[in-house]
Amino acid sequence: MQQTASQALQGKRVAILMTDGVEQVEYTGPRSFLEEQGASVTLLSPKAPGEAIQGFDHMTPDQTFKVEQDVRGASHADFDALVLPGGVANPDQLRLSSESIAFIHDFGMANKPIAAICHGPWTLIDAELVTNRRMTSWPTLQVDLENAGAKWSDEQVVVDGKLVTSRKPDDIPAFNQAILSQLQ
Amino acid sequence: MLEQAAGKPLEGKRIAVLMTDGVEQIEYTSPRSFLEENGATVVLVSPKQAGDEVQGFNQLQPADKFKVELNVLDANPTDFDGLLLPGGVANPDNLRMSKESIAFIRGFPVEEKLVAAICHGPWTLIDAGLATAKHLTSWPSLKRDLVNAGAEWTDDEVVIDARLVTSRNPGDLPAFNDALLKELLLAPGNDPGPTS
Repeated sequence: MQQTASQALQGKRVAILMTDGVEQVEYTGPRSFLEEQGASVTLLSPKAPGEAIQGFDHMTPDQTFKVEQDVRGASHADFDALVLPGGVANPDQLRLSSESIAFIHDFGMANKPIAAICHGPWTLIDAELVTNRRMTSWPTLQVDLENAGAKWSDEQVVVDGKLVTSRKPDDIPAFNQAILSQLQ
Repeated sequence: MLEQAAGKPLEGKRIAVLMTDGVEQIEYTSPRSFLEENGATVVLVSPKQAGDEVQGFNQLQPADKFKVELNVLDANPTDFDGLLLPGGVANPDNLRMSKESIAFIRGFPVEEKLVAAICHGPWTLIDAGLATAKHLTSWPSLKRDLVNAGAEWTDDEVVIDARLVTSRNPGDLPAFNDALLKELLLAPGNDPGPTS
């Protein structure tokens, strides 16, 4: 019965979109939390399924993670929410993947929850999802997000409609709780 | 030897390279070698302390380390004829958090002094207010941020506007280096306007 209580997200499907350079705790933290709550989580990437994504612990290459689905051909219709981890090089590369940007854009247009942390919100600029939105991020992105029309504030988690954003790894507990609320 | 001394066009010129951990190392080593071969004095300036090491990268692989020669707090733009901003995605991202680094960049008005940025290097120009109404280029992922900051962005190997020189990637280094030489040889106040 206790198990049932902790399976609040049974039947929910969550996409995590990322590539090389991801800040690994911003992937493993939300993934473990969502799976413990009963959600099914899929790692999508512009890299091919089966290929390894190089995770980083700040500036140091660390663990690798196997891609589970190619973002090409993926549809937002198969998922209930999208998570965008950070790591400076990860969104920097996703910004150059038109399929990745289209996937993010479609999630926003469908008004489904999108949760982005640290450098993750960069791709939301290219996906044209930040204008007039309240949000936060790693501080270096503040000027880029504001120039794109966002209302940026320095808080551990900002929720504006279906958009959830956080600043850094320390914010992961609050970030996870906000995703949980979006999916319930 | 005399002939060599006479043949160095950048003798007496001083160039600051502002960078920190995550720098794409070829974007530091190539312009530095080129400028020094042409007689210039080059100083590695960083928000890290003098004597500390900056971690260079070859794309996503940590590679060589470079010793900081001058802390940016001790650096004065008036002591330099130009500023070089290499890329590497984490390097300018770290510099954007350093108020002193942004203030130092702001000390190089591009109408008067060379400011040269390559790859992800132009990011800090946004924070320093040097991108607005300027024609420039960069690594393509920065395009949207630079345009939103008021720049005109084009996909060229080198773009020169006033004394602002920008390039896209390591493949552009030969054209980038040639543009640095050309701009440093112009006398102050001799700005011919946009040439790209």
